Amino acid sequence: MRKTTTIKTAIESHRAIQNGELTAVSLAEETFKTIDSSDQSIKGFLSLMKEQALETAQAVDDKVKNGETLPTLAGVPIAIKDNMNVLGTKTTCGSNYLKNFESPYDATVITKLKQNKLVMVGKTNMDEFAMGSSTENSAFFPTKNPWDLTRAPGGSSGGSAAVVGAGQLPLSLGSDTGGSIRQPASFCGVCGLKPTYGRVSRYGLVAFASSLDQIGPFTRTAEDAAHLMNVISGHDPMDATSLQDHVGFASTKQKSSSPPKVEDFTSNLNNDINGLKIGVPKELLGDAIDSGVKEKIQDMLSWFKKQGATWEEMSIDSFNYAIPAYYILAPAEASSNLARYDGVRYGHREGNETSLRDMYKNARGNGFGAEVKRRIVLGTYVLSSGYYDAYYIKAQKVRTVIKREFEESFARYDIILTPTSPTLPFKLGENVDDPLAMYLSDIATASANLAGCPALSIPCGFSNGLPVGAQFIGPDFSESKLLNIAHIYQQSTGFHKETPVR
Amino acid sequence: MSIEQKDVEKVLKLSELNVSDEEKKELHGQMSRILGYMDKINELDLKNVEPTSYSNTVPTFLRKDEVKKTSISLQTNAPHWEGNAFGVPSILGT
Repeated sequence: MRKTTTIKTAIESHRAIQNGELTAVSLAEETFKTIDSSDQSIKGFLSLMKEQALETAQAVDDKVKNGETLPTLAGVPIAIKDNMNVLGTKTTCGSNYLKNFESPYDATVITKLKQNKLVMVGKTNMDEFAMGSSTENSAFFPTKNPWDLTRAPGGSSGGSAAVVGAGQLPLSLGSDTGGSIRQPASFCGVCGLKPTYGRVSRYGLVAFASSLDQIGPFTRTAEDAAHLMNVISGHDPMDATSLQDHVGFASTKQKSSSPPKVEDFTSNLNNDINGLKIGVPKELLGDAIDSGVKEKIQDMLSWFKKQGATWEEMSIDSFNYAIPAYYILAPAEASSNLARYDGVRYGHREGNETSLRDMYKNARGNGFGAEVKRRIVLGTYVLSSGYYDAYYIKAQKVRTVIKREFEESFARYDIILTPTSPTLPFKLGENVDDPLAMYLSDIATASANLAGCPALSIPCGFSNGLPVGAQFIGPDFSESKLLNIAHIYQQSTGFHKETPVR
Repeated sequence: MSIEQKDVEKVLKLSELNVSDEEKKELHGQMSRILGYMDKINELDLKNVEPTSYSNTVPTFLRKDEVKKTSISLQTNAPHWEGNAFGVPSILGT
């Protein structure tokens, strides 16, 4: 069952607060009430931050009372994936190893949310260390898909996707290493963006695979995603891989003598898409893709044609090699990143060992769940002497091929359009015993992480009452173009307004 | 390429993970299937291809190496804190 939502978008709420038609405190209270009544069934949150939230909301209302102009999205409730450090909260990363870990500082994205006075309401559930595609690898409990509580919300940012999909609040943050924002966005019927690698600072995000990880927004509308991108993106000296602000923007639009400006992701909204050229890779329209999913993608392509855009089937052969390459490189980086969890400085520790080695082994062996151990073992194996060239270096070469094929495709097409997920949301428990089947969930999404380019998932219809997501992939720095295309689609269709009823 | 049980043992040692015998067996089976699937990349001719480790096409920048004060307390999250240090099992003379 579903209905068209009357819930305000983030920017609508923000404007109502600025105009004095709505107070941030009443909106926050209403949000906590909604969470209280539906969290029992969705289980999207790991912790709530009521006190902090109401304090921020009060500060916003005071500003309005004083006649001050609010910063972007001030007063709007937002949920945070529990792998981002927020001072005053635990950052568990969905792991028993970190279940008592107190955030020692604010992640840069959190500092930015605070500067803009967004109202952070809580931390959301996730697959342990962001490793998984169903949120069932959370050490605490699985999150449910708001459209069907017997199904998975996707993952690893399943909590962040489910709370927006369930209509508990309009915004959340997730992280995407191989599809962890886009696949759950698709499963929960919301909009999810993985920005260009380096757009958003990773400082304060618990590292999984550092060359692939990127933080991004979950929203209902592309417009809200553009506003949230304005808040969270930008160069950060604390992340050496974060892009300089002028990269891909001012370098072409600004004289070198003027100071670098930050891109405004809303500036392209409402542009015409007449003449847009879309490439549709045949590799993602084959037998591996659910027929209901394909049907909705076809519907969307027909819509594009009516708008004066053109599309054609093309080939990106490397989609066939993205999963093997990704599941070599990501675990390799993870095995190195997770070496820091040694039981010495923070996290799980058994405590009665007499040797240092035993202490390490017990802390890690008992603190980590099965999937995390699997990835550490896999990553250590592909990096070990004798296998390094056969797996790791080869996978890095595949990465080069993927990057090259994308570049060639973007010379001919403005965007690549694919289904976000090969399947409709699967049943909880369906894939837990078959890691490889779970990995194949990322078949359409992992390539964008390997190539570094931005990719967006938006709802494009329903099959058997379950949401279907379409993915737009664009060249580096093309977020505002992707968001504009999605925005125009959402102006004439209503899938993003649908919300589950029970 | 096939993986032997002894390879699993070796990797577990390298990665400092304590797992049960049952888990080891399960890991071996899963690793075999996963690595079997990875072999798909051998279909590609990668002879003259350079490896990519980072996707950035633009240079990254390092900040100045400056010492800054922090209010972070190391003790807060320490599983075992002794005096002014992290406590660990003795590493000498055991």
